Amino acid sequence: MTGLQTIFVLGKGGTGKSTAAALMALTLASQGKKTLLASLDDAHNQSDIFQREFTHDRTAVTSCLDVLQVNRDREIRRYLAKTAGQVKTSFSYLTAFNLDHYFDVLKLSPGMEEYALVTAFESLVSRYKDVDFLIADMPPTALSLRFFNLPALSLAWIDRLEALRMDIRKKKEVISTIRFGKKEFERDKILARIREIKSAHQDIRSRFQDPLQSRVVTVSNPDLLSRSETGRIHEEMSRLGIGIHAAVRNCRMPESQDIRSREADLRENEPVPVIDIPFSPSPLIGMKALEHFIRTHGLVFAPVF
Amino acid sequence: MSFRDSGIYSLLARLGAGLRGTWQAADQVARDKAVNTLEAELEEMETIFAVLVQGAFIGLPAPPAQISLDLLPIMEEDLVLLLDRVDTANEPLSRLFSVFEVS
Repeated sequence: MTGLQTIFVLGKGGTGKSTAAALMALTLASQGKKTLLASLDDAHNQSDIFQREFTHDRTAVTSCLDVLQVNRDREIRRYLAKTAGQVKTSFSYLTAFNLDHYFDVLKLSPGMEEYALVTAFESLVSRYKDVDFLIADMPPTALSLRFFNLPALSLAWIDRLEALRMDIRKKKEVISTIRFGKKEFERDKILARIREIKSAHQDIRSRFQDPLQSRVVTVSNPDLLSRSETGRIHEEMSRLGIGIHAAVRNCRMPESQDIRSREADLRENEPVPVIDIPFSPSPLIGMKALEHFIRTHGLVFAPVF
Repeated sequence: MSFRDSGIYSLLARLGAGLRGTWQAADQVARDKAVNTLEAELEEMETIFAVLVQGAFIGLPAPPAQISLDLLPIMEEDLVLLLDRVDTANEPLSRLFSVFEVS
């Protein structure tokens, strides 16, 4: 029993990530797996594909498939409101000021977008424990890579801050020993909080790196730009210690099926299964078209699962 | 009349108490002098910590915003320290001389 498995679907904008994610989700649901398809992309493509509106609460599409749309702005607002509330409680002398106004600006801070996504992802994992598969339809490459990099980047900072805080604590103990003849242990709230943050980031990094919990699937088209970007995704994920589980090639044109056989878009010595999504003569929009495609080509995604 | 009730005992007891008091005061002075420099060093370390964590507010490189924001609600004392430091920031040498009691 490995619990919830997440499949992250990444790729250059316009390659068909959302369609591939929807097809994977429907395939799993058709096999009786309880599946949640979460769009972390602001483009709201899942609403267009399924031709219905989705919100941050899950909506049942089939008996085994729910879909939701993560609202990044809402996540940022919630987080900042919580922090502002804590600051107001702690800094009693600041209550006269209008902190809400100040915190409004913070939503534009660098790093807030990926943090909102990580928070949203953590929230999905903890809220939907009844789900077998979580399919995450990811935003365009740059933001997705910042999302995966955030725990590692934060941990680099947190380790240094923790080390400095430990030095401060040791110095306080020396002073207390000299001044009072004994060590006086005072709980360091900041060190305790740093360790909580560290633990949370370690958990999320482990989740990303554990192939039993997370699988990353890239989607590309048979064109140079798309393949180059996919190559960069593979490199960056490898640097972060996150494996690529499969590479999906979306053949949007009938002739592209000939080109794909000559392609070598995956690095050598990295055996990643390649999945070719067959060309569909009709647009994959609406449940009828999607279900027809699954019935015809359902087994195409087998290597992902 | 026992020795305990004699005037000599009382005199010796007062002398002992006086010596103890003098020793304790000297000990405290020595301890204070010993930790003064350490406390100044500690204050510097705490200031560095506050500047590192909340550096974004004064235009310095800072950790990812959520780390600064997560720690902000419990950093009141550190921020007060940072504000106090603003008063002496223009005279770092005089501060250093005062720590080492150079006049």
